[in-house]
Amino acid sequence: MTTAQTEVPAAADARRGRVPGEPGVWIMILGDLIVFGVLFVLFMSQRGSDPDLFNRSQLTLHRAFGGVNTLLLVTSSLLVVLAVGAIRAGEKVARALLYWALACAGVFLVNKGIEWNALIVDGHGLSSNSYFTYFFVMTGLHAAHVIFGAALLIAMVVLSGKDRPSKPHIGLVESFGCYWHLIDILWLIIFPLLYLVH
Amino acid sequence: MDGKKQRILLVWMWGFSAAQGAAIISVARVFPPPSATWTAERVAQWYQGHSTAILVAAMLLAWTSAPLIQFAVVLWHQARRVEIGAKIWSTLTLIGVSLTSVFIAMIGMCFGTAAYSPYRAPEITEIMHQFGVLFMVTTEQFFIAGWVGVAMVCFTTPDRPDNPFPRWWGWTTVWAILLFEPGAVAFLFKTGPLSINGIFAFWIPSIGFALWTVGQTVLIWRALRIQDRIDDPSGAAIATEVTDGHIPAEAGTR
Repeated sequence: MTTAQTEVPAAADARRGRVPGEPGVWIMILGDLIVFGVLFVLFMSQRGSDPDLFNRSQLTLHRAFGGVNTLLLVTSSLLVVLAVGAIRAGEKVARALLYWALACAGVFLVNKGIEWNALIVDGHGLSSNSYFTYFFVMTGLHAAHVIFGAALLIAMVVLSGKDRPSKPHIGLVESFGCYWHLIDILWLIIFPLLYLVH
Repeated sequence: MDGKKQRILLVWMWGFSAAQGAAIISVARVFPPPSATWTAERVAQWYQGHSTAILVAAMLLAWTSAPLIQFAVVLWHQARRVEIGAKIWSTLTLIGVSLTSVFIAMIGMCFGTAAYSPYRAPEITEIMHQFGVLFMVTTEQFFIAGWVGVAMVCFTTPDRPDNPFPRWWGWTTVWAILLFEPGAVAFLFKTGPLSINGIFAFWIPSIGFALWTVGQTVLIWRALRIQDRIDDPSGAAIATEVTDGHIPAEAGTR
């Protein structure tokens, strides 16, 4: 398929203001955003009631872990965008791009595991104080989303193997891609909330 | 005729659910559950203070303990009607949703037993109380299995007006599963949003469960109206209209 051919539907989509993916997936994405939004509001509310504790606890974190994980997720999102475009265009490079995105997800999880282990060895746990309760709950819930998202990336790899993906297949690929971007967006809020706001 | 049977089951289910809600919210006052930080003595005092009300609630829960079985039968019947091939997802829904009924019955048993002899050793009353609360909050995996079945039916069957499992509902169900998952984490916390009366372990799953059940009931009720028209020979024209000229192969096999 040529570039010109792929540009035509994209331009038509832009004119129509088409929502990417299946409309139903946006219920799930917006719903997830609302739930995490509630968690963020609770965190800020708790932080407001004891800012000293939250600031002191935050200083014990290693920001490098969070920074590296941010880079990994942003990179993986870019790779997924490119992969979705490649799948729509029927290009074989999609599979390689998705493998790299999966690798980013894997390294993110390993990095998160190392960070958690370091914190636990230093004596910080779920019940240490309310900051660390929120830290482990937020990053744990997010890591669960990364695992679920990685499963969807694997499904995208399978779908990318089809020579001529049908419209429903492309809809699924876009839906899974949108979900991966949700995971990225959530981390872009969690990272400054937990590691940077002081 | 079959539509009428299913409507009876749905009305039965909602009637019993309303009675159960009244029993655990207004009579027993264990919804939301008391704080997990209560001592054994305080739990025992609480049961001593209103044991009669809790026993009445336990009786109501025992009388109305199976509303999800009625719901499971309707869900299963509707799902197997549209599922293609072996009825695996329909059966998973039937079993997952039905088994949740067992835990609902257990909740009443635990609170009722705690209130049955409230002047025994406080630690024993506390154990029964904790059983009841933890059954209520952490046993959602059975319903989640049923939800996986519903989601798979939504994703693998064509969207038609007579199908109460549209694709968008499948995504909604996946979201409901994600909302329900934190329930079991309540084992790890005594306070905060993930404790037994916290927003993530209790409030969001409870509200999500109620909204999902209302939504699925509305979808089934609407689909039943269309199925009635398809089954009615004099409604053939309407059936052709709503299915865009393709009357489902299994229409009329309810």
